[in-house]
Amino acid sequence: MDGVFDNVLLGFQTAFSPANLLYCFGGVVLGTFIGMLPGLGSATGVALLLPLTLTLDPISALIMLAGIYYGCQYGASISSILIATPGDSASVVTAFDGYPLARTGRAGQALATSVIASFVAGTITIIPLMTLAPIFSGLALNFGPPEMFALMVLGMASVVGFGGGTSQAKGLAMAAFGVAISTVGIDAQTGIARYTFGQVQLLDGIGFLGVVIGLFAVAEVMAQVGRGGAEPIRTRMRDMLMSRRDLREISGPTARGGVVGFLVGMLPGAGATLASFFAYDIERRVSKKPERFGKGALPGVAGPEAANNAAANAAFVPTLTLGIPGSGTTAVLLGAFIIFGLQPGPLFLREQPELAWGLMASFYLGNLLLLAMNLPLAPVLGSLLRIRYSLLYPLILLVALIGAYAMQNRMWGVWLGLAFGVIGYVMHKYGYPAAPLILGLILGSLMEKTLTQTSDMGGGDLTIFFNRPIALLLFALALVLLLAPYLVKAVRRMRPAPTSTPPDGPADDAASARSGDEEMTTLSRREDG
Amino acid sequence: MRRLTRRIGADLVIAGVLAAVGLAMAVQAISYRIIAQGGIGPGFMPFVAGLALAGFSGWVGVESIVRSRRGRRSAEAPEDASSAEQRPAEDRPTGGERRVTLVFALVLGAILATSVVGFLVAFGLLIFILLALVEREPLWLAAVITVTAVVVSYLVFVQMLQVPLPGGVLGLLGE
Repeated sequence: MDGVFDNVLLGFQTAFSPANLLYCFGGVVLGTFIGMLPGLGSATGVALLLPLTLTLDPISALIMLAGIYYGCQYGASISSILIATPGDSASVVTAFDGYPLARTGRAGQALATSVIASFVAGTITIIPLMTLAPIFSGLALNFGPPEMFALMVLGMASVVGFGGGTSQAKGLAMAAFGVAISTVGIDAQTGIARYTFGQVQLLDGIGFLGVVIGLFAVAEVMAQVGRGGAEPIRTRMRDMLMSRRDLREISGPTARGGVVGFLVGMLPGAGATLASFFAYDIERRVSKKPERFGKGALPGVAGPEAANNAAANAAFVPTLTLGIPGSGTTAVLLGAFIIFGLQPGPLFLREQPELAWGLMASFYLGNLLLLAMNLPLAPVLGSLLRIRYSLLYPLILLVALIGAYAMQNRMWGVWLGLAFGVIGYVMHKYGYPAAPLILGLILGSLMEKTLTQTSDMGGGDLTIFFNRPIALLLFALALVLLLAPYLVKAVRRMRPAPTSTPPDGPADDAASARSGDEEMTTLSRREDG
Repeated sequence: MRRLTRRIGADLVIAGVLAAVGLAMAVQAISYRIIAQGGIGPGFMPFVAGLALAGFSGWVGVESIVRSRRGRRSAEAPEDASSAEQRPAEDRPTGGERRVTLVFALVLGAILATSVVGFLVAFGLLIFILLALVEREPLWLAAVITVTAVVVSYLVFVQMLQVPLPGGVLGLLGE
């Protein structure tokens, strides 16, 4: 334990040096602005700014890149809440309730909730990251390919559960569509080109960023344009303060989101996106008023925000101790380590204590700087909503499509953004949820990889799943999530019909929950007047 | 009732298209080999995903038909205020579909123009047209916003972030 304490002390000494403080600050500021730009998520932000750090010493460079990572997480939440265009896939869920809150004049509270939940979870989970990393990485190592596959199936079932209110079939179809899209391009295992039709652009597959920008940014803009004449939202400063009741309301979701985020985030490949979806689903299920979700519930912002920041910390567990990136952004960061001649792995903490512990200590510093920067700025950022949408949307289109271009520096991303903008608009109009498609696309290739590995483990026999209790448990949970709406409906039908329904009775709740689900799944099917 | 029928018709068309895409992907996946070397092959996942897409889309289609029958029955009863309120958003008239089509067409035009005048000039023109012609904002305001957007984008993306935005044949504000 003394060893850990000494290392933590060494880490803080390293992180708090004036030069590293400056780089950390520069990183979080740049990260916040990049994160706010739709489509330019943390992975893109870190990748874009990586060349700027090549002249620095490794520890300063990695502290700055980690600052960009954290800043992006905070910035992405701001754009999710204010304009419903997530800057990062991990902030997609934040828009579900953050944007409705903003539309009802509670942008400041949504932003404050996001900042507080992110800070609390991001700060507290540094403790397990620092003290329990070796133990936790040992546990994560027990998750073999069958368990990882089952975990991803559970993640998909959880997201499809969002669509239960309107049509679970539509949610499942979209999830399958996402997985199907993820199979386009060269198969990583065999090198076979699938569904490329001789087009060079398709060899790399259908880029996640172009799809996200199309489905969220472009489709959302078009939906707003279609409605026309939306009144600008006016938010008073006094409305932006968090009451004690609000703080009490978000404390539980923050704690739960932090735990879920850390546990999911440290599994290699699972990442902050899955963690945020899990956290949202948990909050909706434990809430006494699930009908509020999708219409503007603070716990719907607090849970996912806590989860994605905790997951960002946790993603460093496999990255630093196993050399396996825990998320897309840590994959880019792993590339940065290698550029600097460093090889994260089981011996990394022992061989590079100053760097490893200094980096972890800088997470605390970065979160603190982001709290100090974002809380006072919440009213300023909230005032962005006063700009008329007719003036704003051409600019959103410009930034979103530049983001689509910047991912691979080619027009193919822009074409994808436009094509999926049209698809997303149609989906939006006819109640097809975008979230399952996105998760299917994100997880599809990883699912295929783990399924192939599972098949190899079983010598081609997939019944190996039956010998893996954890995987079976995860599959059973996924099944329960999918069947739960039907079971609830069946139980409700079996009950004798009440002669009169109280205003807050279960029937009303169910109806409201259905409409809440509908709002949530289409992300932005909102009426302005 | 007409709107409900139109929506169900649209649901059926979308479900049909998705099912066709799923089936086509599944059929094509067979050529990639579903089973290879005693294990799952490169065609396995697309085959399963394609079949799942077709199956779930079929389910959506069936749901639409069931809803259509229910709708016909309930259409005989007069619509009250509460049911009108509960009607899904897409059933209500938005009156903006032409605008959406116009904006999509203009974005397409801007993307096509990129190869000639470059990304920032093409999208600058797009912003100006959207503001001045579609949104009927004053010309001076449209011009100020356009120039500001192009200059800021150039400084942030091209200069600061080193994003090599295409300059087109004319090589304007990019590579």
